[in-house]
Amino acid sequence: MMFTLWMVAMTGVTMTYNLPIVTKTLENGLQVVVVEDHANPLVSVQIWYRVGSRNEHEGITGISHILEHMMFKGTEKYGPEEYSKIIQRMGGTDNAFTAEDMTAYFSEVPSSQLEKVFELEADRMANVVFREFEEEKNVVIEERRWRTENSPWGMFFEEMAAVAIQAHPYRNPVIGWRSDLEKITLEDVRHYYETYYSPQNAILIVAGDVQPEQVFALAEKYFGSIPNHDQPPEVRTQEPKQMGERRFTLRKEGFTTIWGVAYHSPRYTDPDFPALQILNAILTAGKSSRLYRRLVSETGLASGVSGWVERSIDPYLWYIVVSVQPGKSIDSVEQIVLEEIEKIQSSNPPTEEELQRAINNAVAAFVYQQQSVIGKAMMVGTFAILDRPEAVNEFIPRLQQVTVEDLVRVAQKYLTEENRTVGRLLPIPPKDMAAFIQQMQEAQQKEFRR
Amino acid sequence: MMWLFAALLAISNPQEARMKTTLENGVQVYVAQKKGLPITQVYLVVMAGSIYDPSGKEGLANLTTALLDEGTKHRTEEEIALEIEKIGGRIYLNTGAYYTSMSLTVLSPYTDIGLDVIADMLQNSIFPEERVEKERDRVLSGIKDQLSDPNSVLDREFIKAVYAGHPLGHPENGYLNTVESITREDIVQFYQTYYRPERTYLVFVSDLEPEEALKKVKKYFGTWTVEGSGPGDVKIPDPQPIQGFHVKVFHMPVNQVFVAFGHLGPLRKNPDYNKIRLMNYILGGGGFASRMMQKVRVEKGFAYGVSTGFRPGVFLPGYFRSTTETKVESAHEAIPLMFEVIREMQEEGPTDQELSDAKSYYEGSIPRMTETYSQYARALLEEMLYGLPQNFWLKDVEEIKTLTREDVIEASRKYIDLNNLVMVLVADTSKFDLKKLKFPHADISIEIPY
Repeated sequence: MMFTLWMVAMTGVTMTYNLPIVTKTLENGLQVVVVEDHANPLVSVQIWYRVGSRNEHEGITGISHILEHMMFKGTEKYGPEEYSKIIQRMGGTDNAFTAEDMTAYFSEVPSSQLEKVFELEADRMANVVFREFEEEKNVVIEERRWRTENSPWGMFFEEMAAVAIQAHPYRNPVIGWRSDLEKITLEDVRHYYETYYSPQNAILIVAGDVQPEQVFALAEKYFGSIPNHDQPPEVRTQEPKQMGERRFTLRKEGFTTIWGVAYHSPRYTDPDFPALQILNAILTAGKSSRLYRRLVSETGLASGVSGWVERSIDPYLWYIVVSVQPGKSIDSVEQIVLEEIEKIQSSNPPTEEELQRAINNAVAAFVYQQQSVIGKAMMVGTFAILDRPEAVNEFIPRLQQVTVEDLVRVAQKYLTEENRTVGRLLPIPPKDMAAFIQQMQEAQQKEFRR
Repeated sequence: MMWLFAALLAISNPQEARMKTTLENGVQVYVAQKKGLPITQVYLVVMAGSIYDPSGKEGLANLTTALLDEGTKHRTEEEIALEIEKIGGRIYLNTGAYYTSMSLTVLSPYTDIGLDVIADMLQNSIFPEERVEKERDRVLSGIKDQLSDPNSVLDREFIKAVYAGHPLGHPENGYLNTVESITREDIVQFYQTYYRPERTYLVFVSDLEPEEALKKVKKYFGTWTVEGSGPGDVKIPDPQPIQGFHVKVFHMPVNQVFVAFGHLGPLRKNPDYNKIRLMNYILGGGGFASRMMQKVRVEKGFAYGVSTGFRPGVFLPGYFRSTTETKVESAHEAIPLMFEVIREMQEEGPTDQELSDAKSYYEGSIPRMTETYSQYARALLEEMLYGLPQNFWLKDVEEIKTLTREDVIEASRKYIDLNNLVMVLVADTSKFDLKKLKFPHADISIEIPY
């Protein structure tokens, strides 16, 4: 058991906030984490599996996410989608998500229902029956069409990762390439489930109106006898060092215009990570950030800017993306971003005030996220996958150790030309389609009015 | 060290104190305490929504709201951003059809700073000419992005179609040409006319003692006075109900058919409100517990998302809408299936199991309705805006528990009319064959969204 406290000095106010984490590992390797919170008679139960698109390869991209969908198709004991129906009958809510490093299942229910949720979750860890596979695959393909193929931003991010990363599986979209989705078989999914879904590869997180001892006893009762399969294989591939700038251009009908850059960034546990996170905030977070000031407030070239450093198990990417105002110069946008990056590296380094503002924002966000038991368990889950559950309480202290010198150093180390991929999504203006549409309109009208 | 104790004890008291009052200048205030975290959540609502946009100036209310953080008598836009962001605060501005809202979230030790800033924005905005032009460009850019996204086109066009020609029928952010035509004088006049204490509601939820909270609210909002008599009771006629079956198709180069159909719907204060909620949960609002999801997604694999919903009106009719997106090849099956699901509900009603599951959902979900500071504040805002009884969410559930199968059937027949509706489709008209839909008496038009 670990209990650290951290304090933040912000304009005279001292604030101490951390999550009371209690952990236990069952004999079969299942890690159980409890966060007590008695503010409401609610509990969030979450299972996080250490598997995601990071564990996939060409031919089966998107399989982690397909499996996530199939986990709702029932077991020998429960029918398809019955899991969600039971949770909703309790007045609860449930869902799941798949990302590069993890697949997480979460619910929030009245705390009196804790045991039933454990029974359901343990049952599907061991006994899924893969019903309605083809139907569900079609649902996933619809999801891909909706999220990626029909969305300018979805297309842009898919392209960015695929161009910026050449070897590591992070280059593949979490939703999977379309041709893989169409060809993945039920046998593939079954095999994947057996490989990655076992107690030693999972973390059970319970946040809410519960007692740790009660949770550990129930965990033992429902999960304690689930056997492990073989140890899942390690991800072998490492991304080689980038040796020069990469560029891509996409074109899509409409007006939306996007400029973006991605730099290779270190894994979450790397000592440089906190400084990068703060540097990103100084450049892109909020209306007082450097890039927002230049691109939106001052020049009006863009309608928005955002940036984030991916928190990940393996080295991944730091994105800065700009929503360019249609008709404004995308070249000027690029010039300004690169100019501001150059400034932060030398002529106009970050100030103490900017550093403190970034930390204060992180502290506030950390407190805001604790409003719901789902939010608390999510925080713990994320850090448990990336590092250890206790790391959730080390996140702010890590940021607080960053100095202005660190910021300049990491800016010079990572924000280099040879380490970047620059992407553009340019619009195909609708006027080019006008004549075609006119024809369609007339043709369809005639057929209908006859 | 006060905050340390708050964090560790996580005090729980569902009956924490609340106070409702009207300040001397007419601002209606609802203050409530919620212990556990040092958070202050404020919603500030002004009856200055897009229904008050003059014809030809659609988007005026939205542009006015968007300029509230762009400069006051005391602060430049940069100073507003800095002051809020250095304490980790968040301000969100939003324009709805009826009202405009400001949301403020801060750590409660900084409550004064947050209130000072939003009170200044509300009372002393000066709309600098240069900021008006920048913000106008941002709004225009936002509209163009919406016109490039099939989901947004569907939303914009559905509202237009369902409220044909009525002030509720234009998108809150307006049209490209109307936003172009708005002058600074229009904005100043709109602000002076509609931003008035007697049109303002303020909800304040925080861990602070209610007396202290109220004192702060009075300090920052109690001295607000404005000149003139305001717009008085603005009379807006009811929108015309839809007669017949109208289909509007919008061509976009997408690989799914996006569909929304519906018609006018009830007010929030309709006595059948809870019957409609219960019916809608079973029909298409209850996620995997709903029939729409079951039949269209789970059984057929036609779509990722499919639902029905009622948007209740504040003082004019709201609307009913059912929506999905599906690949071109399945549209002609999926859409009629949605009609079939509704018809079945109207003819046969829910099963006993569906009815008891839905009731059980509402009963069990009570603690989740006010779990976070923002959920609680939103519930109190709803209570205040509609003059609902205290703890209406508990009373609603009491009523829901008494409802019968007949109530559900009646609600589905009374509030959904499959013969008189509008259907909006966004599709690639060169690939999607409208004839396959077989709506014999439909009045069909094809347009482009641009």
